[in-house]
Amino acid sequence: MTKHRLSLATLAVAALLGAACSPVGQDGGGGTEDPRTGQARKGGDLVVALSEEPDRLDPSLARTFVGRIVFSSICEKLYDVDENLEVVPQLAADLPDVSDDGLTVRIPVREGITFNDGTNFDAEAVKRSLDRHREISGSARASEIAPIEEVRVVDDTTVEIGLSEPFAPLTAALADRAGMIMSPAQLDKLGENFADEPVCVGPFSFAERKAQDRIVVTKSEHYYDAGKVNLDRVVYRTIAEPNVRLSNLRSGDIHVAEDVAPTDVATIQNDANFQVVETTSIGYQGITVNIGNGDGVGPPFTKPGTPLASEEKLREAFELSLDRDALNKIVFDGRHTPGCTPLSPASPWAVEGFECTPHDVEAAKRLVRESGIPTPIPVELITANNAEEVRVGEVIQSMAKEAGFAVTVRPTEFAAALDEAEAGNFDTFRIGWSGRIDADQNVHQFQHSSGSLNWAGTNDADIDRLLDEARAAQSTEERKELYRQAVERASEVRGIIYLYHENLFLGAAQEIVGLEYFGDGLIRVTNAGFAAEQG
Amino acid sequence: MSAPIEVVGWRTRRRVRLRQRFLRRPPAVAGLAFAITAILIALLAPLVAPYSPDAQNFGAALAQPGGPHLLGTDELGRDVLSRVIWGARASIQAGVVATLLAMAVAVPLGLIAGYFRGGWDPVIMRFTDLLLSFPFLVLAVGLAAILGPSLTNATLALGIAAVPAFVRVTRGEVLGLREEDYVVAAVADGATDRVVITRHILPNTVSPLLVQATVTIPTAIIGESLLSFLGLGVQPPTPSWGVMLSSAQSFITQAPWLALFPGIAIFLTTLSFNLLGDGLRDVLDPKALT
Amino acid sequence: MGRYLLRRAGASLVVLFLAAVVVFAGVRALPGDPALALAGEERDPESLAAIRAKYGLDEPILVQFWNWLTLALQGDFGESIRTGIDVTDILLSKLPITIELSVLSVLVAVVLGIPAGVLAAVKKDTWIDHTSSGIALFGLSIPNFWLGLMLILGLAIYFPIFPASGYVSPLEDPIGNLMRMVLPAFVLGTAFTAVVMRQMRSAMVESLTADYIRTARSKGLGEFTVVASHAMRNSLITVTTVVGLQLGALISGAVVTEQIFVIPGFGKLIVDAVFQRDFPVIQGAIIVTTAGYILVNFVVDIVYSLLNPRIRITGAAT
Repeated sequence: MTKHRLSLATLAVAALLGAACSPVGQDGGGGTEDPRTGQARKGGDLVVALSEEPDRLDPSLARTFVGRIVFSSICEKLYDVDENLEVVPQLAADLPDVSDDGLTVRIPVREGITFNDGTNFDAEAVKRSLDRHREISGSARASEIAPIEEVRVVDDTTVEIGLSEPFAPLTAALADRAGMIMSPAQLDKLGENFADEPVCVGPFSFAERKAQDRIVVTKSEHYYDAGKVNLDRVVYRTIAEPNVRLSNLRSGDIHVAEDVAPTDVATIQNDANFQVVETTSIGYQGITVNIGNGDGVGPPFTKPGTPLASEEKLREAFELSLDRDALNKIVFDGRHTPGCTPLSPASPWAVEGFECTPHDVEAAKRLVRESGIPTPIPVELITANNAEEVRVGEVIQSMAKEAGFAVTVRPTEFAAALDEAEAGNFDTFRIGWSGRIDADQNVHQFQHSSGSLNWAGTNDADIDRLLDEARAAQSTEERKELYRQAVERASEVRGIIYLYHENLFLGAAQEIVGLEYFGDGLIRVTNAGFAAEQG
Repeated sequence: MSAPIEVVGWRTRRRVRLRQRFLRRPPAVAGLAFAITAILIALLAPLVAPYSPDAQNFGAALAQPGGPHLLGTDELGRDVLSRVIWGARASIQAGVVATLLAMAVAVPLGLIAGYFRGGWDPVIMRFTDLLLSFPFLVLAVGLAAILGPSLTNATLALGIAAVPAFVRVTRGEVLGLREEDYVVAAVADGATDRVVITRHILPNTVSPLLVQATVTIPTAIIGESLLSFLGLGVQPPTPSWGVMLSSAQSFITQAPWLALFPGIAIFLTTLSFNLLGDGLRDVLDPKALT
Repeated sequence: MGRYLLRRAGASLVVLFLAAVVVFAGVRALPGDPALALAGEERDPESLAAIRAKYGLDEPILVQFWNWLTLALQGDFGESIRTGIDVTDILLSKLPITIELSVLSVLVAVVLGIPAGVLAAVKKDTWIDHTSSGIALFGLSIPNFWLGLMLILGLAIYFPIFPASGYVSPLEDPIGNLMRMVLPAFVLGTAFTAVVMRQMRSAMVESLTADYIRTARSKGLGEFTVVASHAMRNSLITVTTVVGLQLGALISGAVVTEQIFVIPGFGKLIVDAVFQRDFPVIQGAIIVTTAGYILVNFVVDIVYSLLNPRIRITGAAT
């Protein structure tokens, strides 16, 4: 009955690490909407509907985006991002101090704060958590902070991290789950079952979880900024179907609905009882073209023998046939942000003034003719098997047809699609990336020949060199320039044809104030509450 | 034995009488008529449909029913009427082919189990019980997920899921027939198994199997639309009623007609087969014959 | 009888074992690697290997099966690959929800189906009979997921009488619980009502012409007494057994209904777990369903053969 969210939707729709309440001028899509501000009264239970069931609530093991939304109320991190997606200290006392060779990173941590079980937060606890992230079996964090060789406690308020190579994206990684610090007392108690009752530093503390139903967190008395917290409880419910989330919002059963479908936005906006909070994702959506993944991800790179893989000109023709604006208008009511790079306009890393390949059917036809390959040229497109993704596939199908491509849309269950992608058993794959704060995390693993998610099989010496240099460079300006060059080269190779950046929509009752929805696309409820009675 | 001519004569007379009895039942006749119409529409879809089922017209997206598009258009501006007409192909193919498939597998198994009994009977029956111990849809969803989404695989999954019911019907019928005097007599006269089966057993299982088929076809049609609804059936842009319903779900408030018409199509088709099945059962029921 | 019972029980156990084999093999035949599906966006080779090791997915399949079977026999179905929660706990928390939905829909079927069937039989071949038989046929033919959508559209969106979907525990909010169950129970009960009505009608038609009823009538008993106490009682036995054999249909229906109305029960659990490749959950949920189904079939079979030894049970399908 319904769209299955464990689908590309996990990457695509629920996606997003990111989104920014875009500052004026960076907004690529329609007008973004800020959440309602105003005086909140104390007390109240906020019910938030998530689009998917969170996985285990263990910062070292957790893998779902919705899990991060829950963590945002119970587990603070060394660093966080502000509304401009700039990294700011949270449990750290200041930004890290990096040695000249880039191999030693010193992080001062806050003092005088406590975990939600009342135990003391200190550098020792930070080391314990970072080590656990790196070492626990099945860690989802290990690869994010792989260059960390050693974590040392300098004193109660300072940790020092030794790196195997300079690693500029480290701070950004510590602004995500890899920077979450768990209570050592609770780790002693629960060990690898920490998820049964997670305890960190946070405005709320974990109260109960009913599988596939709800996760309840209650206001923490130990939180260092408890005075700012208004709500008594936050209840996270899982409602996978977008229209069901919406009807529950209307009926008042929930107060906040994550991931409202773009096509439903207008309906909510027109209702005085509700507000829509919007932000542009720092992820991207695109088509991965199999150009060198003939027999599985990674080297050796073998061409799969399809026309698109053999002829660079045909990939250009394929892109020329696609009308990004029309796609956005038809399927998403024009509410996403068309784009053609891995770096969203919402991100500080966005490439300014980048020119997309225009929609030009005549030019596409000409290239197809010149290639000498008889039309229609067969192209198979794997998409998620939900209605919206199939719609995207069908629109692409009809656009590419005009240029002489016969696209077969093959909706596939997500789990099965991943297998095909890993095995290199596909022509093209409609998939995206939820986005991360640092540019490296949005480009390297997809475009670098050694990338673990290099499903396209891109193997380009220039791209590899630029991405390696960008990783090691310390100055932001220098790194930005390297990413600009890398993105330009990638747009010629076309291992991934980037299509658009999602805009994310939160539906909320009008009475809710103080929601924060930015940066990493999390729903921050620390300062949220029910509006105080007027007058 | 000695009077094959008379047997044929009796059969012909019976057939005529059955036809008359059937024709006296207006609901059954209506069911038959609609089922035939649906099959014809499916076969003649290219001629009947006013538009191409996958021609997108973004300018005319979500047009209300009436006007140039009798049943409106969908979110990509495709003509709903044409898609409903083409959708009949997937549904009826799934319904009929799955049923035939199930019969092709189940009837021989049921025959072996019921006629020869012995060692094979318990094996076949445990196999049947095994398949029966999974609820029909759970089995179909599982099989379709294993086989991968496509109309062929959905049909296959539904066919396999329908096997056990046919085995039981066939076996039960054959067990009964074996005890009939004329079968016992034929065996006593030294007729070979092949002769007994083809002359005496099989022809008499036709009625119950026909009735079972009219129950299975609508179940499989609903099953196909459900699998497509779940994304485990027909591939786009091929229209299918289930696929149409699945994508209509996101437009249920803005464009309720998108969910209305494919649903009505499924409903009418299954209704027609059910009417037909009821009529056949009444007509063929041995109790009603006397 | 004892021998028959024993043989029947033995056969049931064999089927249950085979079902376990089929489920276990079937789950592993699903395309897609559960480790990949679970890994989310961080699917580096080390974490994939760790996931496989943690859930024993890297062991030979027979070893996996043996480990699973021995634990399952002790009521331990392992833990969910996705959420890490004990599968047994998940099943126990879902079971009451689906049972509530099923009981309510059986209630709908009984309350609507039995009177309609009796009435149709008593007024055989009148417009009452034709109307209720016609409605029953509609109920059988209507695809229930579509009916669900239409009811949501009509009674939750256009005329917001009932909540569109969702579930609250009856312990928390009994009225809210019932309000949310009305539409799903009706949807799930529709086809069922039709079956009950038709069975009731044909059983009543048969018993109303039976000798003992004629005797009762000739003794001058009132028509109501004849129908209510004599004919109905006998028909109810038949109907009850038929209803019992419809459990499979009920579970199939629950799969659909729970998806449409987003009720976190067994049906939704199974479908979601299939899409998420959460092996232990799929295995646990299906084997429990199957065991329940086999048990009910067994009981019905026994009851049936006690009541009427001559009757052979045929198709219980769908």
